[in-house]
Amino acid sequence: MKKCLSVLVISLFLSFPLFSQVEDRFGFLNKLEITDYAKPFGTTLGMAFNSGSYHTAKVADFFGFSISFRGMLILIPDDDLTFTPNFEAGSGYTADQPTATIYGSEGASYYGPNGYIVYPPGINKSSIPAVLPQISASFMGTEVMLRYLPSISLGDEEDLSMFGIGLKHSISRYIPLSPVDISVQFLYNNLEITGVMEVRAIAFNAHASKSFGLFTLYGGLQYESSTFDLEYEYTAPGDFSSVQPGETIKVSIDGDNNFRGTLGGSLKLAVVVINADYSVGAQSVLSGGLTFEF
Amino acid sequence: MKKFIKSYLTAFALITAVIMNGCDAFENFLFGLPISFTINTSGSTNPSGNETFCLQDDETYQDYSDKLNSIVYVESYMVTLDANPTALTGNGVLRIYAGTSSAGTLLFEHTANNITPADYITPNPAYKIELTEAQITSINESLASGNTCFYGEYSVAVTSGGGVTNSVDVRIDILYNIDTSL
Repeated sequence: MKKCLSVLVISLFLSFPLFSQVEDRFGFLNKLEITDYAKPFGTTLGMAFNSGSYHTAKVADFFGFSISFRGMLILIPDDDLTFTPNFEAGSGYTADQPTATIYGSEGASYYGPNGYIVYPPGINKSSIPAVLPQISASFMGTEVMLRYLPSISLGDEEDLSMFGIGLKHSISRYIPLSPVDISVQFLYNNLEITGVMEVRAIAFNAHASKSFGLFTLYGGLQYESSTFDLEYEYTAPGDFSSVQPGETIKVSIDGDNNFRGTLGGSLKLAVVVINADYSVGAQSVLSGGLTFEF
Repeated sequence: MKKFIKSYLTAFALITAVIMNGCDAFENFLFGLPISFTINTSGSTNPSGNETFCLQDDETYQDYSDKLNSIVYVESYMVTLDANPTALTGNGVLRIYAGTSSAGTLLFEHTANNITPADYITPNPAYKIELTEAQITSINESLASGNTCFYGEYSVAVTSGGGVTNSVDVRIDILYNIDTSL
């Protein structure tokens, strides 16, 4: 029940329906094996949280307020579908074929002196959808963006909470007659399900935009990172590692997130802004948004 | 303010529901299930022994048995844990029956002629049990019919290198593919 509820809540608020499918898979892997398998998932979480934070570089000179819904599709590259395990030299095991990451298809089995080492299958997905809500308020060229979900109890020991903040400041306001709007932005996002997982994503970007009537063209460069802490019960079938089935494993995985470039456009119709952009990074992101600006 | 937040979250949940491309609530989960069991053999001339193993003794199988769609045989290896005397050579015969005794259906019989069991002690590579398509089909039909227990019998007809008493202990490693619905 706890699991069902956590899946429901995560699905509703973050649109990560895949999480329900990954918990069983993590249990197959010990601490050494989980990193390569789960890293693309951590990267995806980082890509999602660090997306959709702007659709223009313009920041209200006096006061502004907006609420928006950000939808995105994170595209999983082929490199993130498989990996080849690194067995210790002299262990008697040879990784003669790749196995699936969390996003791949079939898990491989390797035979050696102590029997089989079995890797779990992936969920066989090449794209992951995600949705984030956010509220922004701006004053005198500075904008604060908030993503927040109050702590929700998922059972006896599990609570889900989400918090994200973005600080954006207009640079072009200091450049007289600047042909484009330019801003810099810092983002911090955190999602935690106590006793299950915690994701922290940090990003810093500089972006610019130019308006042509109702249409605005925007783009930016962003440096970002993400860390994915995971806690799960080890259930590996037939494994012989030093970890005993039933033992809790805690591991911290850094996502592959580093740099991304974004290019997009937005259309402003009265108080409604519709935007779409494409980001190229560790995983590419197609992002869209519906914003109500006041 | 409370009304605003409620409307906001409701709208967000609706949009999310539209965007989500299905929950895959009953997604298929296919993975390898390794099962190992040991047969200890001994005898004054030709060592022999037997062992029964049941899938439900395996914790992973227990975890997924109520969600099981199918289970099929993939491959198997035999590794020698101990051979005495080490020079013992002969024709090794492995028989696997459905059920918990040799009264069950014989699923396959595999013979390794002129084998020296000590050659398959770690760190040497294990012996791969090559089965015919017909033998694999026989195992899979047994699994499909709901049989979960197997009786294994191993013997070595010694041709050379035997002693006063002979013993060979082997571990059979079998890999199944299991298809479950989560």
